[in-house]
Amino acid sequence: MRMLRLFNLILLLLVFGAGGAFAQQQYTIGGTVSDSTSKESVIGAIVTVSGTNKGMATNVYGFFSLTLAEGEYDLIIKYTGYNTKTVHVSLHANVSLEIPISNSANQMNEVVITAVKDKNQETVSSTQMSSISIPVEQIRYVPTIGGETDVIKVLQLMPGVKRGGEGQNTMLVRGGSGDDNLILLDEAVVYNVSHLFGFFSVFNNDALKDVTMIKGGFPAQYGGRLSSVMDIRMKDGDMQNYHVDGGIGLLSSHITIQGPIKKDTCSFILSGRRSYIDQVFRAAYGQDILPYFFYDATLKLNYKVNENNRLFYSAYIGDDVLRPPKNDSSLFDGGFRMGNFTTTARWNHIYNQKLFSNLSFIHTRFRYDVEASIPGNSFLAKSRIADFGLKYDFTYFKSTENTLRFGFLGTFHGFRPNVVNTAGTISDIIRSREGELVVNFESGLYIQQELKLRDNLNVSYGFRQSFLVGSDVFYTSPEPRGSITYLFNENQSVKFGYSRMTQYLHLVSSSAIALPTDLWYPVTKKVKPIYSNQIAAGYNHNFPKLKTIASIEVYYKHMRNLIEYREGAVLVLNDNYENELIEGQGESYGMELFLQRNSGRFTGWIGYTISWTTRQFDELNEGKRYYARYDRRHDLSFVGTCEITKRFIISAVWVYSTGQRFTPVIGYFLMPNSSTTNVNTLPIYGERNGTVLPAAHRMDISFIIKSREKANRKWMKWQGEWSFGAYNLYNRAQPYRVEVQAGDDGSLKYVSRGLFGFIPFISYNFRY
Amino acid sequence: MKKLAFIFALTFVAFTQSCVPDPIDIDVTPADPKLCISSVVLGNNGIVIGLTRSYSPLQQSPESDTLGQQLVDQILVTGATVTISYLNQLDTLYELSPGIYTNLFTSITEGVNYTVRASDPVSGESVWAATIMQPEAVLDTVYPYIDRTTTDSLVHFKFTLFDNAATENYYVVNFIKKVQGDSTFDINSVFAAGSNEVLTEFELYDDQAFTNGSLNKDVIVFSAEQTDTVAVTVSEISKGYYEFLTAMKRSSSIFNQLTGEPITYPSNVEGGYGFFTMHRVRSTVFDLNLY
Repeated sequence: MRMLRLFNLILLLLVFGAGGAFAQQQYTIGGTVSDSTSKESVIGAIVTVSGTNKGMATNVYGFFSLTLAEGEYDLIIKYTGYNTKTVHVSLHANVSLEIPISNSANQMNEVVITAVKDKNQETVSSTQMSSISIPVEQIRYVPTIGGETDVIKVLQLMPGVKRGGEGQNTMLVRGGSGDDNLILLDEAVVYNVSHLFGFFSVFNNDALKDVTMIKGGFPAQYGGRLSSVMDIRMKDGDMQNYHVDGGIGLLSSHITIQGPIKKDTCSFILSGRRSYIDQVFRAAYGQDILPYFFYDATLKLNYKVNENNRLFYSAYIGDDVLRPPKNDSSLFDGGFRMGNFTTTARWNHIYNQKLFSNLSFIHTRFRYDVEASIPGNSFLAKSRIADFGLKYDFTYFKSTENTLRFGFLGTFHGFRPNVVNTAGTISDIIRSREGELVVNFESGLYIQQELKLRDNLNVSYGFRQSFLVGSDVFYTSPEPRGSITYLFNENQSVKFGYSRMTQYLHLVSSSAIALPTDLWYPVTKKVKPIYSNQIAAGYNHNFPKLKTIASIEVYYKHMRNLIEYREGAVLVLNDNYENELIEGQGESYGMELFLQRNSGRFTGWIGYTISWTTRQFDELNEGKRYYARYDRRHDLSFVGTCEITKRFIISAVWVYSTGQRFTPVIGYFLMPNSSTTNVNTLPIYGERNGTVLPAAHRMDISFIIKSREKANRKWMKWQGEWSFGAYNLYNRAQPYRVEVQAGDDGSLKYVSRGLFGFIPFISYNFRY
Repeated sequence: MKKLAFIFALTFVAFTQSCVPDPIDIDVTPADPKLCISSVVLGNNGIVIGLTRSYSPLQQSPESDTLGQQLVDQILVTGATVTISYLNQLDTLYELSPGIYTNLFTSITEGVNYTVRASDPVSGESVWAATIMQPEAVLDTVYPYIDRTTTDSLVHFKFTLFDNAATENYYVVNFIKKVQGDSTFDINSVFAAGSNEVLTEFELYDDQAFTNGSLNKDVIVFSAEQTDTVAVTVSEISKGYYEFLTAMKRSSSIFNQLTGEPITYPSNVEGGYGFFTMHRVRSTVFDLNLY
């Protein structure tokens, strides 16, 4: 309660402090920027006041607010891929504006992006550091395994983000673990981000509008995970025209339909994807050889009530399903189903030109069901996690130089892991159990202020107080955040940031790949929250003539109360999992270089990371500090997309990374078993993660050929494109496991194998 | 349509299977060979020490489940000097067979500290280990019952074990199945030619498993059938050996075998591997045909 009072006090001070603005002879321009064709709000458009250095970027709902002295102004609105727009404003009272901006090409798959200069300058001057924002259109051209557009695979190519095993969607950010990432889809937490045991992400690119990842210097509105925030926003839906986008690939097909329900007032976007390899094999062979599929679907409704009120409803559902057919000759029946369901209802309200709010009701569910039966025996295991949350977020634009953001997020987590129903003699071995329902309430109060202290000095500081309340646990954690940006000039700056994060959930996984049995558990009396403290410093340099921005960042992160498993722990259906967990600490530090070009016929980036990540657990490695499994010293990625002609695009990726670490078997010894009736061969392991696998490097490539534009076919606006390419072009093993094999001379040697070799792909995408 | 699907499926399989990249050689330094000690107590007088040598993964073909004779000869340590000291007494063990050393006159007394030393004159290696002779444990009651259904039958064993709450105690209970057709049942058969028993299950208990000094258990022995003969043995063991057997039990889990996560085996052998344990075995044999 004391923390709550302190928070209220700070809030009041800041709000009333901000009230001084009303005493000045100033007026405010508040407004939204949207696409002139679809009326979709534009995130991150740069609104500047001509002849001054005042300006800001629109927020995630396209809103901006500028407070200026009375007078005549020209507002310049710029956004990548759109024509620059100038709006004249006679400011003699507060003004509300709706500013439509038009797409510079207004056609599908436009890579050429203009006005990027200002976007890069905004990045240079912003107090937000360690942030990655990738245009969704750029993501679609990056070649990936199977040709499946995958936002997570693209983020894995960024500095500071390491992948797990080959092809896996695990993201390990600045020394964190795979469960340390807060992944939000329209504000709803997505617990399982993978299809096909981690090889494909659950996000259908067609439905996405904006993807931002933050690795450090976290704003106060985010919390609950240690290492990163991946904030994904879905498209709102076109308010003017109907569109159909789709694609057919080797593995899956996808389709997206959007359009107005009522023009300029209400729109929808519906998107779906399904893999069909099960159907292909069934059609080809007449039987279910691969009875596995995944699907996902998203729906978003967008209702503009009036100028000051807007409602959104977003929903996502996706599942992975394995269902072998039951037939007379088969005694076995079983399968599994696992997936997410998220839904968010939001109300945007503009109180006045200075105060913007968003109220969100959020529900998330992740579940898995595994079942198997043979005559006389049946087994069903289920696990559920369901969240119900409410978030109320305010942004108060006191002046152009002073923005205050504050709010509250409260979430009820309901966990019911390991529900087991058995029948037959198997019930003697695996007892049926209801699984204990654990309900926790996690909340966070936050406030953050962004100040432009001088023309060349911006600061952002905030505070988040997080709480977790359970039936027998109570934890609270103060989480100060802050960053400062000093500009040498409009194209060069240095930044420094600090953030503390707290995580109240753990993913308990029995292996390195995503399995249905991986479970999220809340903290308990015994298993405490994880904490991290991170500092980072960076230098940004914008090269306007080259339309390129470069950054270099160094960071240090210390993590406390990390969990690991005791050696040999078996966590599947283990109700006493707490006894298998041990606590330790970790640290990570490194340097990241990033060179990005988002404009012109050639776009792409170069990312390089050098980093060290260690762990220390009293019960592992004799208590000595050791390198984490994914401590890869060097990571280098080149990503390039080149528009050769209007109809032909080539894109390539080359990645290099130091091999991941592993603990090899370096010997064996013989010991009799406990009854001395036989002799067992027992392995001798080397130092934990003491050996480095060979470096992994590969090249992926894709070619995109677009259909010819037929201007006279107004009735049939069909645009199509063929995409073909290859993963791992030169067929090099990406080492992931070690084994002993005989060499050409018959002597034995250690070798490391990869999972995938050269894999070509082809797909067809269209828009109507 | 079917033809198209077939081509599609074939293409998919070809794409994913046709290009398997060559494995990459990796430099891993195998552990230096070290001596390994194991032990069995024989009644009130006598002890057997197994003395072997660890070996490199590069000495055994991964395709083979058995060790070649050349490797076996290398593993079993011959010509070593093995002694055991206790209560101001030093006994020298003689070589019964390659790698097996025994002294049938070593006095075995509960609570006495024993130290074994072994040295290999050929390699110059020497190791030693010390342990305390554990008290004998007895199952208060033990009996099998067979859960029969129309499709299956499961063999259960119920037993009760009492514990001295004043001290920290650890126990192992083994379920050993006799191989059909063999007439003898030798609990210490690992050191005898022609082993004729198979360990089917073993359970480990520490003080926390007991309630008011008593442990009542119902264990299913999956691989036992209603026509088998099964021996149930119990031993009180040291904490260190309990942890060693715990690691062994964990490593036998199918999940751990699949993931290959490292498991470290604790050892009380200075300069080597294995575990020097001294405990007695109390056994009860059941012919399940009678139940």
